[in-house]
Amino acid sequence: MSVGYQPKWPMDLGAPADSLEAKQPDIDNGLVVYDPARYHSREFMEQEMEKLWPRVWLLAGVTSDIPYDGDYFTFEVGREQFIVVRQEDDSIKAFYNVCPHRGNRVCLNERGAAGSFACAFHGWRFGINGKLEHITDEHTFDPKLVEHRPGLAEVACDSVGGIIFINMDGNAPPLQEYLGLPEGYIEQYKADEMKVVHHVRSAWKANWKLGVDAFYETYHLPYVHPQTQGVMEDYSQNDLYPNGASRMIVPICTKSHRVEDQDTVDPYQAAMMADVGIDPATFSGTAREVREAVQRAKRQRAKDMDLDHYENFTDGQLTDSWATGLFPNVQMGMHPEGVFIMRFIPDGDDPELFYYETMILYRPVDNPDWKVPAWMGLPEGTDVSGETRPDVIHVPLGELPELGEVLDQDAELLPVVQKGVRSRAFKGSLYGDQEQRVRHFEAELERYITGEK
Amino acid sequence: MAKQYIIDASEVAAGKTRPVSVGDRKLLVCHSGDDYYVVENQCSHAMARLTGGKLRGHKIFCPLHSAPFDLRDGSPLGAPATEPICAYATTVEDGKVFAVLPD
Repeated sequence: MSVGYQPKWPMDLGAPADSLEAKQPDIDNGLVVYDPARYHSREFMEQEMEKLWPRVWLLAGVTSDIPYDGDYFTFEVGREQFIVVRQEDDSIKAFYNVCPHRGNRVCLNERGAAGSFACAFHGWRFGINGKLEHITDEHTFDPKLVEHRPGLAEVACDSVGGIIFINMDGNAPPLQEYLGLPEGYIEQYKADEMKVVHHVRSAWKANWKLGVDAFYETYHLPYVHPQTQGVMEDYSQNDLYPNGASRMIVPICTKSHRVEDQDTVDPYQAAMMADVGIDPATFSGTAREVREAVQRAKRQRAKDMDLDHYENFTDGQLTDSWATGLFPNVQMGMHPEGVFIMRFIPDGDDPELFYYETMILYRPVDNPDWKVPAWMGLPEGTDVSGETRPDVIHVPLGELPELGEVLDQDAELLPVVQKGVRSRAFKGSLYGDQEQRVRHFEAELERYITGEK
Repeated sequence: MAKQYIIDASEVAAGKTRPVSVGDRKLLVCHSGDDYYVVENQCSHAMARLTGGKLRGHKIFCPLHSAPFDLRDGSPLGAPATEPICAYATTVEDGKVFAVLPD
């Protein structure tokens, strides 16, 4: 976007067609108004349990969390829980966290390191490769019952650019094809070199899809997050990719086109400048020029500090958020300095409850002049050395996740929306073009539920 | 309380554990990163030996049910353990590991 450019809808930042930043051709997903029962009925939830979750690739975690053999983490979706564990040959395997003997969980922690997994019920033991190693008092079992040597049930597991995915039924297309994004899109961020520095899982009283829907558009910014208007353009570039994937590029360090005064620098813009070493007091440009000034300053800083990972990014990527949606339940806010992974995780029993989980991946920079970007919103005292993996902070229902003002506003909003979509007056969501990513997501979900996929 | 010689530091490879008996006391020497720790060699959960437990920084994971403990003070860091293990003040002097053990 050049200086003084007035954003028009549809937003196109004008990147060349061969750039990862390029505006993607539109996809016509029709004008269907979906039955709002999808947001609250148990029947729809059961259909998702049967037809959606087992068949898709699910974001499980990140490779930097399990660097050594035996390192593992667990993660949940709906009624299932999985163990993801680094193998001796450096590969990664994933298993249902279920003992084949009597069904107990064999792993009781969210992360750790193990040489084997021993069930705490009767002591059956399994290797980190899932194979059965030991049956307590095996002579008391009829050999026919255990001759198949029951191990931990394995699920397909693969990773791209340091991000690990699993697929329960093993029949999903290959991961790269499934994700629908151009090759190199995720890899360019080198998330395998980043470390989780903050991890929060908070319970929200709403359907998981209301979470996805809200985070997939910037149309709500002027109303729910008015404080962002001075530093964020809510006309974002919306891009739809195959298989339900999508992206919106949200220009940051620029004022919304709705703001009349495009000259006076906003205090949030000033903070963004200060973050990259520009003194707002001596900055002579207008509000329109801040985004480019920040981009230039970041380039210069990367050069001064030998931060070569910046080289492959476009100018836009240095300031803007590339909010990238992976079907069905992920959005990643992608920046050279870090990646915010958000997951919208359904509860296994209540269609009106989901877990908003955010993992902040940060690239440690070993330079005394480097400052942790303030916009990352890390709580004071966060260890950003990457040496200590923080525990997951669990936030119960009714408490705000304290992930910054913007997210707290969303956390307050969604339970109210949940009440509204249950009303007999509500006939289904009406999506405008600024909500095309939401429709793209809901249309893909519909393909799974109806059996088209 | 008395500071006692436990083992030569070179006897415990980096990233490994080594069980040692001092009198009736079953100890475990852990060499994680550059640091040595001496702890009670018994998990507080199912009383398994901690020998061979994975070491990560100042943590040890029980080899039986993966209960994590802080090697610095013995505190339990996760399921299924809820009680601490004993951890002893440890020093390395002239290549020898010492720990302060109760009388």
